[in-house]
Amino acid sequence: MTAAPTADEPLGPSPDATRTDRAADAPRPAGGPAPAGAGGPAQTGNGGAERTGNGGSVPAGNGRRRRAARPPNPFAVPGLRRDVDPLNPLRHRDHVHFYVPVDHTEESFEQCQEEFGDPSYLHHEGRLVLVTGERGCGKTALINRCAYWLREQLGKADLTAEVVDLTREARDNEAIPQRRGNVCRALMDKLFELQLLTTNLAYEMRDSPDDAYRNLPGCLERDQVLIVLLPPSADLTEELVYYGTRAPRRVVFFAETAYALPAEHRQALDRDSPVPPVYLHVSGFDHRHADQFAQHRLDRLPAGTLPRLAPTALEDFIDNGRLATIREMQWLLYGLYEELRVQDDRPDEVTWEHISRHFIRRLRDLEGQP
Amino acid sequence: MDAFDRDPGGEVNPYPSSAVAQIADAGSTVLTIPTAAVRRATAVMDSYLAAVQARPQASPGRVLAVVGDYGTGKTHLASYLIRHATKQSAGSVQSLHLNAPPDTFVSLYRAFADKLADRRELVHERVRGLYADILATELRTSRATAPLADSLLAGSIDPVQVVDTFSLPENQLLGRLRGRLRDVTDNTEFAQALTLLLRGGFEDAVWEWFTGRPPSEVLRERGITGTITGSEATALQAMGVFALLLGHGSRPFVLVIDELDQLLTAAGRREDEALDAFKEMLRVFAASSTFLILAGLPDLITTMRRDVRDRIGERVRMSPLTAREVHDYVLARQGGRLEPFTEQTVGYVVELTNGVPRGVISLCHRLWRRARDQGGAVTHPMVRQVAREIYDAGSAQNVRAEIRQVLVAVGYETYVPEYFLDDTPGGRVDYWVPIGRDDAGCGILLAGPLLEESDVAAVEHRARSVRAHRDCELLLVVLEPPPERFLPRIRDAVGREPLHYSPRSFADQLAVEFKAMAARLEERYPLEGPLASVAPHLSRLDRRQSATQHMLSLLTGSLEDLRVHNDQQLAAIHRELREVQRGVAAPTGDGTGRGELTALPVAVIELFDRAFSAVDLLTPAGELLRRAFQDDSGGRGARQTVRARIRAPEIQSAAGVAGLLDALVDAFGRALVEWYRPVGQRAGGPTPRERERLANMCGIFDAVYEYLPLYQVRSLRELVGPAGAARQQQEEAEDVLGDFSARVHRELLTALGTDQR
Repeated sequence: MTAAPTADEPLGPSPDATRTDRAADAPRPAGGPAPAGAGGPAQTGNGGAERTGNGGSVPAGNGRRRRAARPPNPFAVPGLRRDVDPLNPLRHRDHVHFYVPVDHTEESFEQCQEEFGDPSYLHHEGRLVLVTGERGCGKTALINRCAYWLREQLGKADLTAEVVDLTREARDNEAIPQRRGNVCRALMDKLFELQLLTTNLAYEMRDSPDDAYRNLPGCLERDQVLIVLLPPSADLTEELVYYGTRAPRRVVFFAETAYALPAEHRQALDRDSPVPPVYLHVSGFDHRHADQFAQHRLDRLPAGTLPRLAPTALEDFIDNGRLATIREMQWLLYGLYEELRVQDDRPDEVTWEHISRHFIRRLRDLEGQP
Repeated sequence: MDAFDRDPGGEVNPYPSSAVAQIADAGSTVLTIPTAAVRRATAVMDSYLAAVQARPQASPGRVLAVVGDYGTGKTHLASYLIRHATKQSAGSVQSLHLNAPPDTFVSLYRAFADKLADRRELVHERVRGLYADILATELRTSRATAPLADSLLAGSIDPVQVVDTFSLPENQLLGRLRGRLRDVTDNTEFAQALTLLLRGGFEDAVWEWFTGRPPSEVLRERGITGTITGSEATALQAMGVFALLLGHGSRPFVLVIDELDQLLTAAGRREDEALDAFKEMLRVFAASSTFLILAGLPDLITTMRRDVRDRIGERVRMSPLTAREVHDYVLARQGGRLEPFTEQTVGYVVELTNGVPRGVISLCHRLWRRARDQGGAVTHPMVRQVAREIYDAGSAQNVRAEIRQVLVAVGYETYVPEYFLDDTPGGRVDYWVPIGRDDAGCGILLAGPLLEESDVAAVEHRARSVRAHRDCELLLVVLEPPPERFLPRIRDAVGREPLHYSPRSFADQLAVEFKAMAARLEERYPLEGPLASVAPHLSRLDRRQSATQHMLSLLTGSLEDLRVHNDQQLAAIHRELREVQRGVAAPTGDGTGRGELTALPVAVIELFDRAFSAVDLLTPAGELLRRAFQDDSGGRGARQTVRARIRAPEIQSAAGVAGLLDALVDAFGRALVEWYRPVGQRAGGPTPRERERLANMCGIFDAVYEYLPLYQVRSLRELVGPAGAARQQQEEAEDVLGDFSARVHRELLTALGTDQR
């Protein structure tokens, strides 16, 4: 086994140039990224791509010397504010092209398409779509993709669909009744703001979720469908039973949890929901997924623009079955290529040592060391 | 901590002025006499430290009982062992010291949890340490990330931060932690609660549960349903859980439970279940990596159930100091010199104090100073004189008060204090209780220090004098144990062992003794006549009822006092805070910002007063903080409130919002003053342009106000206001501010005699 590299070694042979360019060019956003959705977490929307509009070329100004155009960061996704925010075609239509079929997300997406191939039953029933899987494996990105597709699909069926994003309306450390109340109030407030309520009956019941949901369909136009994105349920899987069994007609709830659904909750959902929920799952991540994801992103660049990954770089990096997530890959490769793209002297290919050195440098950031 | 006096000549008294050890005693001023008990206990500690190093080959847990009478150095020994362990393990030892309450194991747990809550980092550090272990194991599987493992294990990097920043699979890792904690603690609910400590936002809920409150809803929803203090068994089980957790890893952990005899005396009167749980707790401690020190009076061991006693691996009995040990101690304290003491005076000190370390040290401290003041050596008369002064300054008043309380409690409120059987001083009985016929009764004699022959002779004379006049049962109460050599004479004269006053157990012992004395007299003087057969029963019933009523009144009185005191304290704080707030809200007229508002119409000023009153919570919060620095009961209450709440993010957010609201109202008021001055000074009211300007200002207020989440302020209101009133005040604030600009607008135009369209 080769010894692990140290953080002091630069990615390429010109460390000085690297530091100079990083300082003058596009510094990585503080704090590090978070994952992208399974199909890819996307990335931050910077990487130069968003800020510079063309991928990082910074024009000379104020008398400074003019430099060669920098290639864009292939792991940057337009429109995202942080390099690990999930892909979201609901806000950025182009994101549909950034999904990569890893983590079982493609199969889950197809399953969702199948379940809502004929959405006419929504006239009579509501439904819960539940996505389970480890944190950072693309649940949110999958939900965004499914919700985007469903909105389009409903439009084709002469239904008007509105996506209501309530994902930030409850916190982990709130009790279920409080979370339920927050979500209901936020939903009614947004519907009021969007002027989707034909009468105020449901709005007036915003403090009483049971009543509000029961009366909601009557307060909507007959062709109006709501796609409601719920806050992550974490370990409060009990609340999923509520949304599964109380989903009003013409309302589709999308929920996610990183915790396993206990058998009794699954049974209750299957037994008591008007229509059994759609269960989608995103699975674990290994180096083959990592390769597939990285190649997809790197293929977006013209050949020779930036070094490719060595064939076994990611396999070596997450070898021996170490737990990894697509969000980690997105964060790592985004940061790595953010450094590479501003270097004048780059390696021919990126090996696991490069990746490891980058990893360790970020570790030192955490330790508060230079 | 030891305290040393400096004499007028500038020389420091080498003996500590306070001979009561504190567990926090540390530093070079503490001197431990290496008695046999100390050497033995140190050996046990050394074997523990070696086992911690050698684990897992050896099981490090130890349970050590340290028993001895008052002042024999039990706490000092515990303190010494902790210092010794700290020194031997290069400072990595952690420790907690508890004084067991004379109550239940639940109270013991509460004391433990309170201490632990003050040092939460101990628990958090252990949980994070386990998490770091798990994460390091995971990262070691890849050579690329292996270097990170070392940083994690070294503690230089936070595992939670690593998982978050590197987007590692948190849920699986926390699941492994939960499993590991379950293995370590053997308790599913604790495993869940401890894991929650690593997830943001649960810390307060978890610690409330740890300190004995029922689980909050967020915990119940996560499977934590029991209350730790629901029973003595669960409380003791929880202590075992913490022992397993805190003793986990390679850092030693020492827990001292002092004065445990008090608790066991109380526990012994209850069901076996509690003692079974205590026995189990001892087993868990022994099987963990914790060093548990149980300290108490000799009763701790003798009254303990045998199977429980068997769980205590090591026992050390504190023995009196010998003359040789005190001699060495004096030399050590005085830099190798014996003067102003001599071999003989040292021996006399030991005799008078029975070798009890606390007495020895107190006496040496005063004798050294006395000798220094007089420029001579310590002499026998000087030793007697100083000893007498010490005892006289003791607790004679407390003894008298307790005797009176006990006599009433056992049903003999007919006692006579300062009862003279004849005209001589020798005929004085401190407390006389007539029982039976023919002036028979029970007498209690109080005596000062019995240091020399004449003291004992006086006691003998008093006892014989009483006996010469009356048939009686006598009891001698002494403030300090008499020297052994005088005991036979005292027993002979009084008829029983003298009862030594000790604050903790005196009342119980006196009650037992006195009832036995009274019973003997009643046997000698049976009543006659038709009621004779039931008289003893009636008498006992009467006394019992009297005693019960007395105890009830004491108990309810205490509880009521406690409750009233706390309520009054809190109410006083809140009352003062409200006054402060009102003072601020009132127009000051001092030319500062709010004073300027007086230029506005009265109705508008009133609106602003109400608005300022509704949003100004920072001033009372500031007052609360100021009070927290006061050294009185109010300060204590304020500190408790501040400590419990101030760190909560919602409080801090609320403070920010409250500050902004206050500034917003203030700025709005200033702008209105600017607007109103020219308009109010001329006839005709505002021009259309001025009206438009007023409407714009109100619009600006509304727009900014919309951005400030008023509901958040409620947290701060709960900090500085009485419980239960926060919601009402919040609603009032919403009423005031909800259409504040509209009301101001209306009132201004009304005051200017303008229609409001």
